Amino acid sequence: MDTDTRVGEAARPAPQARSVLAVRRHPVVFNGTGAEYFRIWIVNLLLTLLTAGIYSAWAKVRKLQYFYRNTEVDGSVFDYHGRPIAILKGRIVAVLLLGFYNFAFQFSFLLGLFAVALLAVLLPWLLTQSQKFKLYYSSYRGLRFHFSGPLREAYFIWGLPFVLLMIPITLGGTVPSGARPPTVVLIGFGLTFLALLLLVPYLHYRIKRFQHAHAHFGRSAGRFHGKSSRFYWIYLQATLLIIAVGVIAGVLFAVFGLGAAATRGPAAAAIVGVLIMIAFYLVVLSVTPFVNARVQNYVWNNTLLGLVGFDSVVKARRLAFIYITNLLLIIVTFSLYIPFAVVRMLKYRLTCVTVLSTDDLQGFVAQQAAMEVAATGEGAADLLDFDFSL
Amino acid sequence: VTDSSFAARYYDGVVARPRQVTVHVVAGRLLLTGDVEERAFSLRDARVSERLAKAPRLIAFADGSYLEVMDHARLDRALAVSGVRDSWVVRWQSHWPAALGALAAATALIGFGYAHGLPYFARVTAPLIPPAVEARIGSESVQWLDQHLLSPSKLPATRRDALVAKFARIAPRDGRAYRIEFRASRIGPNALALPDGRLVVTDELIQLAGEDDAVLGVLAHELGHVEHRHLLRRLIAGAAVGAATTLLAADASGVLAALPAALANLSYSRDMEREADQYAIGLLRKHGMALEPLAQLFEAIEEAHRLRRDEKKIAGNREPAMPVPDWSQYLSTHPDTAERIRALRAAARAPR
Repeated sequence: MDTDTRVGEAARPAPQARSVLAVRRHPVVFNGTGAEYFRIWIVNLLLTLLTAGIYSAWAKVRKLQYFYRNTEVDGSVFDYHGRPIAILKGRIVAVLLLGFYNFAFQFSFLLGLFAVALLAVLLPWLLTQSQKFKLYYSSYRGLRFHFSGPLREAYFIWGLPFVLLMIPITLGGTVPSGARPPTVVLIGFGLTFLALLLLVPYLHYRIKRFQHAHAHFGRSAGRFHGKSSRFYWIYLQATLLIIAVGVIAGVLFAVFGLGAAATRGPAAAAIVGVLIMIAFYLVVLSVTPFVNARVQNYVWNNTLLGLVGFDSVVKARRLAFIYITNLLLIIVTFSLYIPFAVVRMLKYRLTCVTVLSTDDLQGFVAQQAAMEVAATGEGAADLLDFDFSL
Repeated sequence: VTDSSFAARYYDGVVARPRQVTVHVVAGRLLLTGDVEERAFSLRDARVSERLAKAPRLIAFADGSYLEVMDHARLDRALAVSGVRDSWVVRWQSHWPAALGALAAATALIGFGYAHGLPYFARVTAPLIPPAVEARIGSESVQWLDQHLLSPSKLPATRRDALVAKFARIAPRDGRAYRIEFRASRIGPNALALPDGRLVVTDELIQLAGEDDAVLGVLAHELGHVEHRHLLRRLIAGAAVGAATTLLAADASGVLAALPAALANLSYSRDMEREADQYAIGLLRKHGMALEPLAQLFEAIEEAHRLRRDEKKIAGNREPAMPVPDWSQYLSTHPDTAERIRALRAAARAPR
């Protein structure tokens, strides 16, 4: 649709460098294959089952080692250094926390509220820890990445929706159970819901800014120049897409469905309805890849790591095609296609990125003081299903 | 270049600059020559990354420096000479027959775990659930049922009181509370037991049964479900399946935004029905009551079920003009009715 995401203003390296030296392009190459990853995946799965989940920490390290070591830039590959024992500890904490959260309401309402509050207080810290762990245990050419995102920013980002969510909960608490809530309360519910919806693009922007602006590679710091307005534009397009598809599906059904009902009876109408529903779902499903593609391009094209820039050219339509065919293949193969799907998606998203620099990427220098990072957040983020990829 | 040497790229861990080196493996030590000052590392202290098909192997040293090796064949030979072997997991992962064996084993394990491991886990953990949780599940379930499927009973109060009084005479006084809830229903003749001891029975079932003894048999059967914590066990199994699916699907996250959690079948298993039947038989016989009315009620339900099936066949795909109550609701949770009727009659004939 629009090509300007491809070359954002900040995508090019700093102006003074560009004026003197030519920009060199280092495409990201991915050497992994679905067939090889399938074997790793199935052995991981079996051993995880046999050890009642304990092996999952080792499985995660093997999986990430496979992805990192097969990702190549300028002839060198990445490496993942996470230790399984640390990840296992994180996962145990996460399981206990989630177990407590899920069952607290069964015991008493107060305990439930306490669990929600506990999670709200811990979550920003866990997510920050997770990012720290992930970056600290990643390296390229012998240099570690690391993450210095301040906690207060994390509490702002994840605290905002929580505070908003507390409004309807408090309002609901004032209404006696079984009674019809007064109009004022209903309006309050509606307004909070609307505010939360309007907040989503802004929070997405803040999360990406948080992750990219505080990333480091050796002594080189990350910078992020993106603007929240762009995220609103991406989400607006996605919303319009859904509305348009909904209207088209409705009109199609009105024309063909009712036509079929009139001429060939209700069975034909049902078939037409099902076909239209399937088409509708496929398009709605492709909204996620649409947003992913646009966000990945915009975020990376506006990120600098030291003097290095990035050029991301993911095509929304291609990503949606991969996403939907992956989904269908996973269903018809009873999930055996999962490893192939993972590799296919990862390969496309990675190889759409080019690293831009004025040199041969050899000028980076390691940071001196390095410290180990606890894996608690990493394990928790896995289970809470937060996707930090790209 | 000797037999136990290989080419590599060396990174010192300080500057992101690759240096071409030749690595000689001598007596468990790695000697580096080439684009660096000569240096040596102990192979024992090095972390050799696992073998993958195409990816380079990395040999990391304690000082943060490492080697990136592309020449897999030569590295293998050098490592073999030094006695470094791939771990069994790596060998397993790199062979198709072994990997397919893992697939077969995982499939068998999931099947076995679902059929046997899960019920066992649920049986062991169900008694650990505190009564407050059972009470909550009970009251929430009744609330939901009342809102969606049930309405107040239309039976005369005298009939209900009589049933309550009769059941009170046979119910065991073991301190476990139970309560009979009478309801009219949109789901035909049905009865169900909730973990807090509430036994819900529909007017339609009582009308179909006719005799009070058959109703008492059904109530005794439902009380058996309570005693054995059957519903709680199904709920635990369902939750465990949900948790396992979430963990296994985590691998695909990023590909699948939300994998629909596999719903565990909430109906009772055959074994649970048999257990509840045995409980009812024990209770009825203890009080010298006949089992035949319960057997006949089962038959009536099965007959109604068969009738409805035939009616459907005659009517083709179209719904019958007069809606027939859906007997299958009760039967779907009670498989092998014929076998259960036989078991009831056999128990009736058996000497005490």
